[in-house]
Amino acid sequence: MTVRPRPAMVASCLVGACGGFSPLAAPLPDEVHQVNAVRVAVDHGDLPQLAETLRSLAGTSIDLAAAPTPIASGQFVLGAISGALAVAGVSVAWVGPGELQLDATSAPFALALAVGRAGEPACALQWSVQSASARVRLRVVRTPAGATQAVLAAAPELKVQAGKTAPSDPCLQPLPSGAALQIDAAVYSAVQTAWLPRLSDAGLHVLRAIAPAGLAAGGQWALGSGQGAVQVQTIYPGPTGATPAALGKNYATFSLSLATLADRDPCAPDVPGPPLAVVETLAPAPSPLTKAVVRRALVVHQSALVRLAWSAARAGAFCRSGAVAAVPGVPLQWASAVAPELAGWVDDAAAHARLLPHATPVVELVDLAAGPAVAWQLPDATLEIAGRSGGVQAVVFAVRGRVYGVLRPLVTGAGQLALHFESGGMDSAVVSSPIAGGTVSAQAAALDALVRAALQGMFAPDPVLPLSLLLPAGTVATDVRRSGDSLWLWLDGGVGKR
Amino acid sequence: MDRTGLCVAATARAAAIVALGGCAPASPLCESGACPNGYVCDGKTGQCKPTDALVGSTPQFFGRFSLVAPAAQPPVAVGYWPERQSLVAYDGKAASFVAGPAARPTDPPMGRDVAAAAGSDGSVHLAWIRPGGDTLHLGRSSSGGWQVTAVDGSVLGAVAAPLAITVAGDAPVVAVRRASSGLPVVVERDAAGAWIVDAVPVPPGPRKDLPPPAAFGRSFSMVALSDGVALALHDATYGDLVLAVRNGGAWGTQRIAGVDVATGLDLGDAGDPSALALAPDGALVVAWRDAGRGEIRMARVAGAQVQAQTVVTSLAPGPAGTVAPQWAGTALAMALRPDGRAAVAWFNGSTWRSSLLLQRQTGTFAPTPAKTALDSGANLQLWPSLAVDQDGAVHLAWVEVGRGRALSTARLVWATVAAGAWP
Repeated sequence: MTVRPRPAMVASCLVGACGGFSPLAAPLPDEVHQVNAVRVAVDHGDLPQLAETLRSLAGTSIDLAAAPTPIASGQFVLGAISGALAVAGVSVAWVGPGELQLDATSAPFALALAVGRAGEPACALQWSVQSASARVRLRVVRTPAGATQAVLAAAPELKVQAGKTAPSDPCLQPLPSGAALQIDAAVYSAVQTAWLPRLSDAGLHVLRAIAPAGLAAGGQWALGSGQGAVQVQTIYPGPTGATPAALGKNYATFSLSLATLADRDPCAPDVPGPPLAVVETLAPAPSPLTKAVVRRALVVHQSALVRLAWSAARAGAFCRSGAVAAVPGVPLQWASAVAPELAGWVDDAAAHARLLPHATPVVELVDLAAGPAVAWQLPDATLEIAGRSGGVQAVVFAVRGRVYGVLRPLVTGAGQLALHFESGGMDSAVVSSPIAGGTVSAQAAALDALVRAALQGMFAPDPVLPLSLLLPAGTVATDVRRSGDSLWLWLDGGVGKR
Repeated sequence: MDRTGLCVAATARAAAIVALGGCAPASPLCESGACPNGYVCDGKTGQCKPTDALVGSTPQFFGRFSLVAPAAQPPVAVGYWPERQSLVAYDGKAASFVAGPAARPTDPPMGRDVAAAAGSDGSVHLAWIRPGGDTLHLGRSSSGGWQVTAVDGSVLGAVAAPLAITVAGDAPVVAVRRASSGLPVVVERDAAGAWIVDAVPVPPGPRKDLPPPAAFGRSFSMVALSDGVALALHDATYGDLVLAVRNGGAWGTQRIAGVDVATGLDLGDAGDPSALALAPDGALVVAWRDAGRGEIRMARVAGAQVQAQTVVTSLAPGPAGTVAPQWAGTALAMALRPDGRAAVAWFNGSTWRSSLLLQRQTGTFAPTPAKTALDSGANLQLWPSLAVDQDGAVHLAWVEVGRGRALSTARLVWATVAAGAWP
C-alpha cells in the first residue's frame, strides 16, 4: 500500500464526501475555468442600509485635533485645533462596474481656535465650517501575484466649505492677507486626517465583506481512502487592476470563474467532463425578506453544479458505502423479505451498502415543496447490499440499474449550508445474489424499502459545506432559492462589525 | 496423485486429513480440482456431485468455526452445529459435543461464538459464552472427554463476543468484552487458581484532538508471549487495527493500520477481522482486512517497528472501465509455519469463495496449489479456518454448499497442504 503524501491535510467535506484537504500545488489551467459560474449578487435595494452601516462604522462624530501651526510666515501661531465633526449623512452607490462610491457629508460645525503672535496671548476665534464632504471610491482588484484585494480606486476626495467669518473679526484683523486661507487649510488638514482614513477603512471593510477575497480560493480534496481527489479553484477574473464586477438592474454582481479537475478514482467511470458553459445572463431572484444589513447572494449556475458533480464523481464521491439506515419499512429479516429463498442465510443484523457507479451523474436543479434541490441520477450503477452470514460479512444482493437521488441545500440553525439527502431510489433494477448464483426475483416493495434505506445510510450524515472558511467572520447563510438555472444562497452578516 | 499439491477427502469415511499422495483421482477434473468432503467425482460429467447419503456423518457447521492443530494429534474443528444447537468438536473421524443440548439435555443452545487454541501437550482449549447470564465458559479436551469450567460470574460478570483464546504454559488465557462496558478484558487464573480479570487499556485517540475509542469490533485474536500476551483488536470507533501487548504485567498499545500514525489522517477502515501469530524470532505477525482498499494486509511487528505488506488485492473490473475492491477477507485466518512463513486463508464476501495463499521464502505470497483446488467448481465456500502443524503442513477447513441449494446441504470440507508443497 502506498499512501500519497498529502501535506497540510485537514478533515473536510466536499459534495458529501469527506477526506483530506490540501492546498493546490499550482493554479488550475485557464482552459478549465468557467467564467461567471459563480457570482456574488448584492441587492441594490439595501444601499441605504449599507450607507447607514458605513456611517456607524466610520463614526458619526469625528474628533478633530491638530497641533499648533505657524501661519503668516511664522509671525503668528494657530493654536491646537480641538473639536468634532458631526456626520450628517452617508450615501453609497455603485459607479461603474463594481466600483463602490461612498459620499459623506457633515453638518455645519464650529471650531474654537486660538490665534496670535508667537509668545503673546492668543485671540479666541470661532471658526465655522458650513460643510465638509468626503468621497471614497473602492473596488476589488487582482494583484499581479493573483491575490484578490479591496483597494481604493482613487485618492479620497474632501471638500471643506468654511463658513462666513467676518474679516472684521478682531482676531483676524492683525493677520496679514492670506492668513485666513492658511487657517482654512489647517482645518481642512485636520478633517482630512481624522475623517478620510475612517471612511476608507469602513468602505474597504464593507467591500471585503461583500466580495470576500476568501471566495477566490483553491484546494484539493482527497476523498476518503480512495485514490481520487478533486481540485477546485475560484478566482475573480479579469486583467490585473481591473475591477471584476458589473452592474445590473437589481444587483451589483461580482463574477467568479470556477475551475475543477479530478484525479480519477478507479471505481469511477472514465468519462469526459461536460462542456464549460458560458453563463451570460443572470435571472433575477427575489431577495429574501430579512432585516439584513446588506442582502447578498452566492449565485451558482447549474452548469457549475454539473461540472462540480462530474469532478466529484470522477474522484470517487459516488463510490460510497455505509450502514443501511434503520428506517420503517425495512424488516429485520431484510434478505428473506426481498428474496424468500434466502431465509436462514443471513443473520438478523444491520446491512451494509456500497454504491458502484458505472456512469457519470446527471445533475439538474429542481424545485421541491420545501425549496430548491439538486436532483442527480446515475444512469447505470450497482448497489451492493451486504449482510452477515454466520457472523461474516458478504454481499447478499447486487442491484444494478438507474440510481437517483435528491440533495436539498439546507440552511442550518448556525447559518451554515448543509446538503440533505432528501430521497433516492433505483429503477430498472436487476437483482442478483451470489448465494443463489444468479438473478433473483425480488419482492418489489421490500427491495424498494431496502434500497432507499441503503442510499439514506450512505448519504448520511448531511455534509456541511465549510462556508466559514471562505467568508468573513460573522457571515451566515439565511436562505436558499432557485431562479432560472441558478441556485441563490443568500448571506447576511459579516458587514457591521470589525 | 493430486498434481495441485492439495488433496481433499473424497468420502466422509476418509474425511480425516489426507496427506499428499493419498488421493486417487476419479477424473481429470477431480484430479486437478479434487472433490471436497461429502462430494464424489461423477465420472460421467467430470463434476463433483454431493453424496447425500453421507450427510450427517460430519458436523454441519454454520458460522465461523475454529481449526486447531494440537501437537501429535489430528486437527480439530470446533464450531456450532445449528441442527443440534450445540458446540461440537470434530477431529475428522468423530464428533464430540462440548456444550449445548446435544452435550447435556439441560443446556441451552450454545456455541455460536467460540474460540479455540492448542496446548503444547496436545490438548485443545475452548472458550465460549453461555446464554442466559452470558457467562464465560472454558473447555479442555482430555482422554475422558471435555472438562468444562465456568468463570466465576462474580469476578467477571456478563461477557460479549468476540472471543480469543491462547494457551500460556499450560493455562488458557481468554480475551473477551465485558457486556457492561463493551471494553476488552483478559481472563486467566493466578498461581493460586483464582480467576483474575485484567482490563486491556483503551488506546488513546488516533490524534491528540480525538477522544479514546468507545467501541471494539467483531474480531479479537491473541497469542501468548514468554511473559505476557498480545491481542489484536479492531477499534470500531475510528476503524483502526490496534495491537495491545502485555509484557511483564505492563500493557502497551499501538495503532497498526487504518490511520497514518504520523499525521493522524484516517486511511479508512482496517482491522476487522484480524489474525495474530507469534513468529519464531519473537516478532508478532498480524494479518487484517483493509476494507477501504479491499486488501488483506499483513505486518510484522517487532517493538515499535512495523513492517507491513499486502497479502492480496481484490480489485475486480466492472462496467465502463471501472475497478472496485471486493469484500475480501471478511473472514480471515492466518498461521505461521516453524520457519516463520505465513499461510493465509480468506473469504471473499463478493463471490462467497475462499482462498489460501502461502508465503514464499522471498516474503511475497503465491497462488498456491491449494488455491487451485479451492477455486474449482462454483460452490459457496464459507468460513475458512486453518492451522499449521509442527511439521509445516497446512490444515484447512471450510463449509461448502452449492449455489442456490438449501443450507441443510452445507458440508464441512477438510484439506491439507503438505509441508513440502509450500512454494
